[in-house]
Amino acid sequence: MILIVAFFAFWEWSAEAKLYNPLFTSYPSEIFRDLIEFYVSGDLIKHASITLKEAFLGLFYGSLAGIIAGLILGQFKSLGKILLPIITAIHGIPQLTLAPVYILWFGLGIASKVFLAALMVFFHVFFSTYAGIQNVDKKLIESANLLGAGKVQTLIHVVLPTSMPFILSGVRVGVGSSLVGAIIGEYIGASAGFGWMIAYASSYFNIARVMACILILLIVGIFLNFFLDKVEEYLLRWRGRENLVIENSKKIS
Amino acid sequence: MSYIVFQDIEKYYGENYILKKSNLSVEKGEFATLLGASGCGKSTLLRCLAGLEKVTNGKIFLDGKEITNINPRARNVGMIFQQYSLFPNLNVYKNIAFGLKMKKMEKDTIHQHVKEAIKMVDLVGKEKQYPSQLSGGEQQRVALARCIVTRPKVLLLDEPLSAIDAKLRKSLQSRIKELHKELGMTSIFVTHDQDEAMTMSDTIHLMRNGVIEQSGNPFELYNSPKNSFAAEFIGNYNIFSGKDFSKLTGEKYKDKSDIVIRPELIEISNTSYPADEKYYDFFGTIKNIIPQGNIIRYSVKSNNNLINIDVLNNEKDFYKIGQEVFFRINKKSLLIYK
Repeated sequence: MILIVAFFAFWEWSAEAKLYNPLFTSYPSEIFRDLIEFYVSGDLIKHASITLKEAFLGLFYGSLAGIIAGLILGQFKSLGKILLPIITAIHGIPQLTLAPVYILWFGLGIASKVFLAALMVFFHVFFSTYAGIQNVDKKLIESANLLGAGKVQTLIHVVLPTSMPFILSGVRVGVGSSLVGAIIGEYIGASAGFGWMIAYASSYFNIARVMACILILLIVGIFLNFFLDKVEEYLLRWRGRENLVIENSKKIS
Repeated sequence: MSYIVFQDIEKYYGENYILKKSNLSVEKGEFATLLGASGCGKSTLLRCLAGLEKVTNGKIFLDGKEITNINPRARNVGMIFQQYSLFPNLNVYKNIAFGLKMKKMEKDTIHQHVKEAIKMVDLVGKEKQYPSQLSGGEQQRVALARCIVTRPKVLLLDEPLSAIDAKLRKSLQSRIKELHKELGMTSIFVTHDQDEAMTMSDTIHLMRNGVIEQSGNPFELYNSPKNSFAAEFIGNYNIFSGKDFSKLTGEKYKDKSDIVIRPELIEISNTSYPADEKYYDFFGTIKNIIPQGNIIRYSVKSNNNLINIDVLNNEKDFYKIGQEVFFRINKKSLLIYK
């Protein structure tokens, strides 16, 4: 906390002292003033809700598609061998260059941004799910079969939960990608959202507004990360180290 | 027909065979052991019975029915692996209940069976713990409970105690054997440890290079090994080529034969024995002493041959390294293999 306060204080001081051109970064005091104005005018809620909606929908659909595709390709090895190189090749194309195409396909509305965000999330979640499934101990699957589990039951009760650490690490990276996807989409063609707001403010050299948007995105990122930590803690409560820590702390207390 | 029958089982990977014309039968309620060195095909044979490996040729029968090409989940076979293979995301209770849940049993019945199984393996109070919170021995007991709770037709144990420390291994050995008797199960145990096989089995099937070399109860296998391989694997026998033994004794043995002598049947003394034509008499020097608790093993060098002699540790007769000793072998105790 002290470090953050010191950072802002140093920023304010160095900008006031004209150690560099404050046009590039604005002043923290000005950014906070702009933030209040941004909020009071109702624009903050309006633009934030649009961007977050796009990002969350993108995260949801991208993760869902990534997990399903990862599970299917992980289960059917021959299909995986055919499709994996194609998916890897598509992943190699910078999505930024395709964003105008998506806007052409899905229009200037929310759909094109959701699609871009979902696509960016999809690759992370797909590759991590696929790796997770490859990593499942074969003996666990054999044990489940011998205990009477069919393919679907094994997938639901064994493969999916034991791949969860991998899937969650993909989703964690996907959270950032979904925000990036939504903002890039808005940046290229939209009439609302943080991406549009950043592009609009930059064109008027309103750096305080740009910085305010970045600050909000930073806070959203921190919040989402915290939320993911909690989800991970719950879903992976069976993992060794955490459990032992909990056990020990109980004993100590 | 026996309860379990392996009929001319062959397993090939390309041109390399893992199992070659293996024939084996196990009776209901029997505790059978597949014993052999790593890579001899014992685990593969077990996995063929479970349906986890497809046989290239041959047939497998269980309880009067051919199961060669039946799906593993339909065989009602329980299997325990060396690395426990518990579902890491399920606690002890849910791991044990897994098989019953898959059989779509009612919740109350599942609860009753699981409780009973937990009691049997002494894990009361650990129901809510995850596998990562348990010791190796406890994990293996969960694996055992998870298998027996479904009342499988046969319990397969694939080196289940290899990763467990020696002291715990002994107690788990007896627990497995007790449960086998209590529940009237039929079990097939795979191990490379001859002591473990001796302790636990009703019948031992000794395997080498995908073939069953010898089957019999522990006494038969130890006292009457079929060949020098069985003698060496099961009992630390002294093995001489006919040529060497002829030189040692002065009597003619076929060069290509193997002469096999159990180390505990050789008599040792610090004074010479009276002449007796039933015995071969030797003289040698103690080169090494290996204390094995109740037994002391002396390695005695005689005419450039090293001979192991096992003596009961009675704290009276004790020899030192370098000491010259007399020893004799009863001619009747020799096993000769061509």
